[in-house]
Amino acid sequence: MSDTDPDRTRSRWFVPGLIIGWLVIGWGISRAIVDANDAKPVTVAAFVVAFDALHDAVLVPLLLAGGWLIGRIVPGPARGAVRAATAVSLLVVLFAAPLVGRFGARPTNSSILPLPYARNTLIVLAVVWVVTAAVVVRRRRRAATARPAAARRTP
Amino acid sequence: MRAAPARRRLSDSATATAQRLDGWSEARLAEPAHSDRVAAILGIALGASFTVCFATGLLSHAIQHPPSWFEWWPRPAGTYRLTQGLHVATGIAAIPLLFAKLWSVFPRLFRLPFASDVLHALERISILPLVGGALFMLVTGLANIDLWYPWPFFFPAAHYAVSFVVIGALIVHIGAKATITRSALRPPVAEPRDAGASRRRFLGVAASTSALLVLTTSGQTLAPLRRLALLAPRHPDIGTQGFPVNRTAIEAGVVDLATDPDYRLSVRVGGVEARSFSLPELAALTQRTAELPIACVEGWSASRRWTGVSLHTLLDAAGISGESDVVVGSLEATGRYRSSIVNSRQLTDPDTLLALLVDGDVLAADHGYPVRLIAPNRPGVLQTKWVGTIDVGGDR
Repeated sequence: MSDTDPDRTRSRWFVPGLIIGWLVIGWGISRAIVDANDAKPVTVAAFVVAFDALHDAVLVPLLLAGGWLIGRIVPGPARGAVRAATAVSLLVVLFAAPLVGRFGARPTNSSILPLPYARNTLIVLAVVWVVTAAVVVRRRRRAATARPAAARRTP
Repeated sequence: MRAAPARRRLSDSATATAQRLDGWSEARLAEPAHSDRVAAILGIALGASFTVCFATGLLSHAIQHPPSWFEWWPRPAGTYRLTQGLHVATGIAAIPLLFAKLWSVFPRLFRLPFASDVLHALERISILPLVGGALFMLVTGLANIDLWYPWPFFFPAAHYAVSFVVIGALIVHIGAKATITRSALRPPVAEPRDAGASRRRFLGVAASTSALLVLTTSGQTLAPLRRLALLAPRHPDIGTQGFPVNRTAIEAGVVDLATDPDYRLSVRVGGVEARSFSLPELAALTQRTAELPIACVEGWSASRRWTGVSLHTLLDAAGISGESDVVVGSLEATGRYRSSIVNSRQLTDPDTLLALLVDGDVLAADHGYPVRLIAPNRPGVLQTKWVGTIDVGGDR
């Protein structure tokens, strides 16, 4: 069954949810229009669509390609862990980019972005990979102790 | 016969591609990370975090733009610090959860047919404002706390409007997914041995990443986590006089006015000056000291000891009493936040101060010299600096 199957998707909340939800969406749009000078509804709408498109057309293919590449380079047992650590690392780098790049910094105000972010981001990434390595090692040890026990059980 | 062979080829290949994508999606949906169960659990986590963000965000908005029936309380003094810290921390935690959820459900984007009927189409279309809107809220929210504004709109207005769009789309989504969520959360039966472990690993990575980002940022408001705050855009102990500044005296254009030896704080009734006070006269009034936080809308906070005149003491000295609310105005000539309203509840609180000193030292220019408003449970933008006028009643 696909999730386009109506029997699977329709509870008694479906129609009320549609009505109330779209009314609230309309309310949000009205707030932007009423405050158009500040909220700039057309620009904001373009941003919303662009974020969606960037995710679907750029980020997802990038992750798929990266996952495939890791499958070619990394031996089987560690693949999942390396894929996870790589994805997390990418997120950390994107999260920290405005900090490391100091995009919001102002020369008149030293209390804005006061920390050594490049160094700190490397520390965080190091933690991610050390923890990943530790998890992989621990999993291998568990699998190694489980194997002799399983061998003993077979007739 | 030759009518439209090119068009037919195009639509044939489009159909073929769509069908291939549909088949590929169906295969991926069998994998544990893309299972209904993972989608359901991440969905609940996101629903909870967006609800917290929405509630705390609405509160922050209401305090700054109070509807006529709403009068914010000055006590407990740390409430806003808590709710706004929670707003930012929850938003940050939602980032890895959102990307994990989007990864988990993306094969569904290509399932055919697009919609089985009009109602179903209305539900599927709502995914655009749901995903785009959620990304908008989290990305602009993050850029805002990093003080980066690469866009032409006014962040608070856009962030407020789109929040309703996302919540509305979320309501449609929950109504549509209620059944499938309930069934996905039941104990799974007859599945491959490693599926459960694989699902838990995927969810574990998402949860750990949320925890990582929260732990490395929340020290900007939570004291015990201060030393871990590697990725916090502000540090509560770094800045002029040992705590952060948002708008400097130079940026506000008040340096000359603030350091003017003839400075006087003007108290006006109905637009007409009733009484004015020089700095020595303010210092001669009964002083009061209170420990109060500066709690920024961007989620950081710093608590300090402030010394000054209670606002109601000042109004008494000016011969004014029984006011419902008061407008405190800055020497800053223009700017959205050049004045703020003190409501009657805040006015009667003795810790609503016109501060002259912080931690025993004269206020630095960047922190509002000669006088700044500091009051309990008030967002940082409303703690008006470089106070020049206090307007009571009538025409403001």
